[in-house]
Amino acid sequence: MQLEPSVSFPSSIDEARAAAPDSARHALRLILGAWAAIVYLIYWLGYVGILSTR
Amino acid sequence: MIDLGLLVLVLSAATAGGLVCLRVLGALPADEADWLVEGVATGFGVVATAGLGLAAVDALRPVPIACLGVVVVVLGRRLLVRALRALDGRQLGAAWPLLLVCAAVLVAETLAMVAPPVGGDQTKYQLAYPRLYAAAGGLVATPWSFWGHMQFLQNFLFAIGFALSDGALARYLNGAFGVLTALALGALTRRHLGEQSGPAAAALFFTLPITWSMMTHAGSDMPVVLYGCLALGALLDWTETGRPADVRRAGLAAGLAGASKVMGLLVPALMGGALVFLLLRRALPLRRAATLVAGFAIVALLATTPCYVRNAVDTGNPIYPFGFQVFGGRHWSAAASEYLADYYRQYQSTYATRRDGEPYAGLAVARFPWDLTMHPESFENAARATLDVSPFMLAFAPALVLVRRRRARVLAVAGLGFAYAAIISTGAWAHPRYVLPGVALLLAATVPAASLLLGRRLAAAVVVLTIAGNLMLISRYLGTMWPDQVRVAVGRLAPGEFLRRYSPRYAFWERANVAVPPTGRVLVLEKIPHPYYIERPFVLGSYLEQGLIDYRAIESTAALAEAARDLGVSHVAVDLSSFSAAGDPFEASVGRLWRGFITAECDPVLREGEYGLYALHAARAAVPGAERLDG
Repeated sequence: MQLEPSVSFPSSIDEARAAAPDSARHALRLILGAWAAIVYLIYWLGYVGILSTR
Repeated sequence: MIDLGLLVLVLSAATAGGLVCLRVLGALPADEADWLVEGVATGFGVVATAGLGLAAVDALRPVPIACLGVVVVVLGRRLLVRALRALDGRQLGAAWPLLLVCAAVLVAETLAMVAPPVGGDQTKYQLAYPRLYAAAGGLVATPWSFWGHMQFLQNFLFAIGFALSDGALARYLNGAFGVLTALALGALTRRHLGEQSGPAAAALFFTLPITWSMMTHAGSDMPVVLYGCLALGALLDWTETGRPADVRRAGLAAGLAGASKVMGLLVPALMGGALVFLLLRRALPLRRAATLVAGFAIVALLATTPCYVRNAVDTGNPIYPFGFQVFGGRHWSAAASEYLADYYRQYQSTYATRRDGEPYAGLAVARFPWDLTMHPESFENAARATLDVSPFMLAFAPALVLVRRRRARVLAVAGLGFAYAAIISTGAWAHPRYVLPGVALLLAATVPAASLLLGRRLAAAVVVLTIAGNLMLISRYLGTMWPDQVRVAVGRLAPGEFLRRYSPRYAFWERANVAVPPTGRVLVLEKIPHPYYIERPFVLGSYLEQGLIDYRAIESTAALAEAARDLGVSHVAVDLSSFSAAGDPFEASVGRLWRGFITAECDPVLREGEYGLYALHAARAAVPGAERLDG
């Protein structure tokens, strides 16, 4: 018996593979962006004396 | 204006000499557009080495210096012309607004440099001893303080400056290191990290408040940053071109970094290690690899050693007074080393309280990048804005993980910068100035990282905002001493009046210099003397920077008086607050000794603020052996 070649299963794996790094990269960028924003914020707040960073 | 004219002459001669040196070593950059910065930087090393040589043979005078200058200009004139012709303003592209901002900052800094030096280590040793050598026309034995042997590459460049002019020339030369460093960092970034990132890296560095501070206060840290950038740039050039000339140039620049201060020796060590690592990865034939390593090491050694040789000859210790356990050293002891180390520990503890902390121990040093950014004032007696390195590096260093293009190079620059800062902060002293070579490299590496994280437009906006923030902090300086510095620069305020306003030491020495006859000799009793303003022959008698006068061996006022008379002392200048200083038992005992000495062995002459001048009883004429023991 000749089996129908399955196309959906492998492609769904591919999509999952592609999607996971994308979301991870996006999350990583968000974290790195947030870190940069926090550093700038605390730095300047420290200068204007609103927040003690000690 | 005369000093600016002299600066142009010195820069021309230095560039010609530097280019000749690079040609002789077969180490010129492949691209002639890079010759000028490399030539000036190398030339400063050549001029400084010549300055040490002239000082050693008592020829540190304008005529011999001018003769040497003419010789190097004649030898290097064609190379100099080629370097100047290779400059192409069109390469600036969209970077001209950044250039204009930096030019405006440089003008403001130059005005500040015109006024006499006030504050920092410059009046303690960075400018004080070069000026002393220039006044004497040669090296002066100063065995009573180790700062006379903390004189390295830039100090002999300053000595050349003082020999040519007692005005602002030496301070302009110090400022020139800052300009060269920004250009070298920009070139390193442009060539190896990203074409568009170069101007941003240069402008971010040049506008840092700590850069302003170091350009307007003569010191030894900026040259290490400059030569570190040039060494790494040359090494990365070699990875692209494979030219042995680039390896030799890396060795030369790394050696000059080592010649600038003891900590700078880490630059040739790191660059040499990086070269060996690259050679192992490339699996070059052993003979070829050995030739490259030898080329690097021999040139680095030649460039590094002159000042260390001078120290070894004078004291028996090339890194005097450090490494006493290994090298020993005249007029020094293990007890003196320990006391100095205690003082620096105490110093670190005092200022660490500004961040509610303590000097770093063990893993606590991991906090340093944060404290460096948020609390730079917690490392020395300075305002926060004085040592500020901006938040850019800390904010975008983690984004280095995003870098894909030129990844190896970006990570190499960041890694070597991090390694330098980590080794200095764990092995020596976590201090903003001392880690600046590492900070500069990390700053350069984070520019492309920020661009990847934020996109080009937003990253450019952040760069502009950061520079604007830097300028805002710098403007804090402008509200204090800067207006008076400008008045001095334009001739509306006399330098003496300026100094009277800002330096209590000058106010004292202005009167004391008149009260002490030219044939007299002053013993200065102060924990941390700043001898820049002393115009009479002097001997320093600090118990912290002790040298010849060892208070552990002097037990009575009569013994101190005898030691002073043996040095030909006629007058004694005292920091009166030291009588009551009692930070530790030794300090308290010296305070009592000084008080007793002044009371029993001296007569008062004058008092100004916290300082007093006294005449030593029965002072004898200067003994012949002490003739050159002072200024």
